[in-house]
Amino acid sequence: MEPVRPIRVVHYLNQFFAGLGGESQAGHPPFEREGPVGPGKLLEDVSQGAISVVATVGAGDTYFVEHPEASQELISMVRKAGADAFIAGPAFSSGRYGEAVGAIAARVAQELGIATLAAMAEDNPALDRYRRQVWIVRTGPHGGHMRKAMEDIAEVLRRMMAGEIIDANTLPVFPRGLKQNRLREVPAARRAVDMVLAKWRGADFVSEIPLTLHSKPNPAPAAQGLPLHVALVTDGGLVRRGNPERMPSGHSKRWCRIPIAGVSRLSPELVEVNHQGYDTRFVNLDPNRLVPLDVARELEAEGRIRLYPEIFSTAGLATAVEDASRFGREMAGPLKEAGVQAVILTST
Amino acid sequence: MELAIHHYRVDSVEFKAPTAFSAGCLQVDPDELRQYLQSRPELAGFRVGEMAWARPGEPVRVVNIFDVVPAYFRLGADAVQYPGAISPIRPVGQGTSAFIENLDVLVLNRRPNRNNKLLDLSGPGAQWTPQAERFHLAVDLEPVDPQMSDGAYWGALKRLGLLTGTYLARAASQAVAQTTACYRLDAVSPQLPRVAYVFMLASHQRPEPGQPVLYGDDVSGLLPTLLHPNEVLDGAVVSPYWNLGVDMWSYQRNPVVLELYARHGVDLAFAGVVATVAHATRPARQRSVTMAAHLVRYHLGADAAIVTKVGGGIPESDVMMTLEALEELNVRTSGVIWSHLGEGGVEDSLTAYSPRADALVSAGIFDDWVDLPAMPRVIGGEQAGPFSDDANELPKPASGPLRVQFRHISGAINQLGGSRVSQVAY
Repeated sequence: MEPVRPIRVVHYLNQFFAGLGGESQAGHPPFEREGPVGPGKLLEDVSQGAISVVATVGAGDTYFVEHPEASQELISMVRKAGADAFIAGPAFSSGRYGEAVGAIAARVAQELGIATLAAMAEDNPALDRYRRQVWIVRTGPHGGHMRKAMEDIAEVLRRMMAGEIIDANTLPVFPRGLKQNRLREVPAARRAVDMVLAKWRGADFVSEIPLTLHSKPNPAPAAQGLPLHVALVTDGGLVRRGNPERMPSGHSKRWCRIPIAGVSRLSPELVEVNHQGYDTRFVNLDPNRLVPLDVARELEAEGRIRLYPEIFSTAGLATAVEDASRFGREMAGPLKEAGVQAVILTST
Repeated sequence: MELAIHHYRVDSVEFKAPTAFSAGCLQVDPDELRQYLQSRPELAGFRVGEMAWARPGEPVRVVNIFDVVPAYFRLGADAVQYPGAISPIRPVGQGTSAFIENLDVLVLNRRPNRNNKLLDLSGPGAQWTPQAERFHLAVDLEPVDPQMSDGAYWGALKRLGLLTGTYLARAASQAVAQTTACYRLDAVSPQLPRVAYVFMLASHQRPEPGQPVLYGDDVSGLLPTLLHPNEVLDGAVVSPYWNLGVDMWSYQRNPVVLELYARHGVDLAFAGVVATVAHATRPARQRSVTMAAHLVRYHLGADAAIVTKVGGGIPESDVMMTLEALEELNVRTSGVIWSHLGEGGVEDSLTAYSPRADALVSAGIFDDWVDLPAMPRVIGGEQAGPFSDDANELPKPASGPLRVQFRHISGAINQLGGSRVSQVAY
């Protein structure tokens, strides 16, 4: 029988695991070495000849995070090695290392299209940022878990290269949080009968569409005092005239600030609306219909409220709930800091 | 109520006079069939087009499919077929019928439509749908007046399928049946859980005045009502024109009804069917959900219920509220529901959720994409599609490689649970 050719792998490490030094070397620029370094040798070892690390690349954690061009340089190194697969980490619980591991793995997977694995621990802050883009092997929290991590990486990679379906229920990987169509053994109608009978008997069953429940925040107690410190916020797609910040008209990933200090009312000379989800002609004619700055200024003149000097705005159309929740947290920070007591959020 | 269905299983088909069924072979005289169809008053003002066979495994793609219809015929001197649709309104659900197993009538639409489906009989597209395993007679119809409204045209197409199916099964009924299935809700052990089926027949998102759905009624004013499952199997219910993830075949050979019947007396007691519709306004939905839940719990005395939907996104709210109302009455529920692709994450699968909807079975991601290779032979037109939601997209060459949504593959996304395609999280 022919000996099976080992899987040729490029391995990504940070300065510490590459043996260049600790925090003092975190600013180290991208580097490349022929063959395995440190944990890469262990990976070859536990794979019992199934994996050959042909090159090791890496960068200092701080350097990677602070230099966006670093990943381009690293991609070139990986491409040059012409390997079958790419492995980044494990980063365990380390935040900056995890960011580098996730980012570089996601780019390699997308741009080079070779089998790619990242590895980190459940509490790594980079996990949620990259799990949808690349398979991430689940590891323990620190370097003491290196051997187990390498065994798991070798196992998942072997199955991936064999064309097996990677299943987070049976392999030590984090679920991607993605979905796809597959064929099940029996038609949906039979599964529905099986499931309802299991439920009636009190037996275990697993819903095929996981429940997504969004938390319902309790409203804050009514604000008291005169004048009330108030901010104006909208998801109606208000932007500065000409949209200099290139705000999207939907599927928003960010929000913007529109300064209104000294402005008595909104006008088409000052602002416009960029939103794909409703007929914007009427608010473009008079943007106070979307954000009632004119009336708010009247209340301010009466001494009943005091306005925060910026409008916070985004386009709420088809924006993921996760993103919208983040916008809320991001907006609440500066408003709380400024002592804002209430927000008028006009939606469309 | 007792229904006996004689099964005639087809394993070969051909055009040859006279129309007859013998030893697994269905032969059809196309001239006689055309003559019969053209003689029917329902099809006055239309020209019946070419007919074609599509066999499982053939390098054939059928495009512009409007409906998929079983070949089914009720026997007896005064038996009516699909009452209210192609016959006067008289009772069904009781008696004897003929059904050609392993055969579909494919009704083709001459007008481009985003809901037209296609069917590859071989290749990678065939794996996703049970229909690729069956034989098909494709028929189509052209209005003499090209200005005819879509609604009137669809009504004729619907009847074309039903008439063709009854014609074929009537011919088969002259032969000796291979098997006979009996449907009767016999009393069974009181220890078994009573399971009901909530069958959403249509959605008021897109009402189609005059379409025959329930004994010929367009269900625009339907409040929840009880049906005997035999009425479903015997032609009282006709699928709506809007064929999003449904077709006539799955309405009549309803997979939930057949599954509950198959297990009646084994591990459950089939309690009955509640017919509902999905609503466009909240009060109407609330009223319908309340009454449907009461029928299930207090009239059928059910311990458990299965709910299926029809239509697009809004009926997901009808499903969620129905599941909630039933669980509230201590009826255990499961629902069959499709999902949306969204951005590809598991979180944005449905437009509505309920904490009580904790037992959902997936009928697949209806708008996920699938690539189909070129196919040497095409039935149903030179052009197919469009296949996206882009208003500017034009139909594409039907024989070429096509990128379509799962819902465009006939039978792959079946909202009544007839397919094995399912959303899987990874």
